[in-house]
Amino acid sequence: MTTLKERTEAPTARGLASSALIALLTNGHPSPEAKLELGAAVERALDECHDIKTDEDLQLSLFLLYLLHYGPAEFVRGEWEWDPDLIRIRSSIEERFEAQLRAEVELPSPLPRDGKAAAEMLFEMTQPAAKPGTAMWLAKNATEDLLREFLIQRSIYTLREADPHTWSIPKLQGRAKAAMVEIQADEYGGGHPDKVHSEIFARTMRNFGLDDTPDVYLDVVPASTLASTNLISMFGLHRRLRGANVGHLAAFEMTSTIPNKHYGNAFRKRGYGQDVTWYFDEHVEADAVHEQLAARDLVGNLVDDEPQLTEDIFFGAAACLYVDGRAGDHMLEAWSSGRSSLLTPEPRV
Amino acid sequence: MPHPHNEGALPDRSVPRESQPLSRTQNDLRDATELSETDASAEPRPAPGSAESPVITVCPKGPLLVRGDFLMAAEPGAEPLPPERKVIALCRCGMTSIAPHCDGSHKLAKVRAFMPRKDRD
Repeated sequence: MTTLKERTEAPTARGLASSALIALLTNGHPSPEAKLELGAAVERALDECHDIKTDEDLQLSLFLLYLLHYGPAEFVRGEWEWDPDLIRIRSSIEERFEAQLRAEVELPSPLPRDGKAAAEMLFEMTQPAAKPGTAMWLAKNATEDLLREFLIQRSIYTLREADPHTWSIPKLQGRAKAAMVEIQADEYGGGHPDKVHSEIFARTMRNFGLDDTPDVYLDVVPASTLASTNLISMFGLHRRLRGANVGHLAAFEMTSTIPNKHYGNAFRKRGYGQDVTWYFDEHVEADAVHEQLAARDLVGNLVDDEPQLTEDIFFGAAACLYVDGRAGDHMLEAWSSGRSSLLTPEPRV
Repeated sequence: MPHPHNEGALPDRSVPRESQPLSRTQNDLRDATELSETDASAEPRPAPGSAESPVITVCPKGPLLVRGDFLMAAEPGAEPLPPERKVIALCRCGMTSIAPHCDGSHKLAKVRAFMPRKDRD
């Protein structure tokens, strides 16, 4: 039986911007000054920010602003989802995030000229995931603590798996829309509630002994992990960025089968059974299908039907590999030097 | 190994899901009716080329995608069952660990089966 849960306690602030935002969201009757304070705090945080991908205060702020669109947690008081001032403040963070990524991410050159070439290019770009560093390291060195950390890191996105990509469906047309629906329908279990991928992951968390309430571990998850979910939320919520979201989904699906095989093996190695590994096993089989659909039917058709989106499709794909790659590197660097990849020791639930 | 909150068993994949009537479009139904007028013993089946008839797509350097209205038997003589998902990918390289499904392993090697016939030894 699926029970709907939501985080009840307000998250812990990581700086002046997130502190002002949490104060605003948790106060049912904020003063007019509270919004001005938030605006000023975000502006200052942006002025002082050197790398927004790893900025704890700004990534948490962006994450909480997006959370309003996913279904606000119980700690939010009042109707903030479409508050024009919050949207404006969110835009100022998004502009910096997008600008920095566009400056740092390398696109293939020249860009492919048709759908078939675009699919081939994506397979080439994602080929390194056939030998995934973090997943292979974990399969070899898994301990109980590392597996627990890994699930906590994954929980931020995976307990809402597929949702931000789905935001692009109404922004597409024709063949690309149909292809995205075909992939996303499978992500949502083809209509079977128990097979919805986020539900399968929740089950993995419960059977491992973790709390499956979305965002319950938010306070211990670093900016690099929040950035990875924020990226898809940003791509999904903006019609202008629908090409980037399609490219992101394709790169995400195309770097999934082999890493998930290693992750499943990591849990098996520690004696866990199918009640925990099903999530990973399911993704080996499902994403071997999805990667073909994503590269050929989704991206291939979109490039042929809306060639002006080609550059953004490849920006989205490259940004996925870049941002998720950094999040994975952060974990691997910490683990391989005997440290935790989390901000503080996780709360024992 | 501590499994503090083990839950119910996974769905048993050897048992067919509730035997769903195979979906048909209105057109297919009409075609099937016309068929049965000429051959009363004919099973209603999707018209070739209709939205529901099975389509196998050969992915370059990749699996066979199968979509549409089809059943699969795990071995000769086994009961044909509906697939677990709407589109499945069947391994074409022999390296998969979840046969007959593709698991992406073809990315790890040069696969002879993917080469055009003229390039094989």
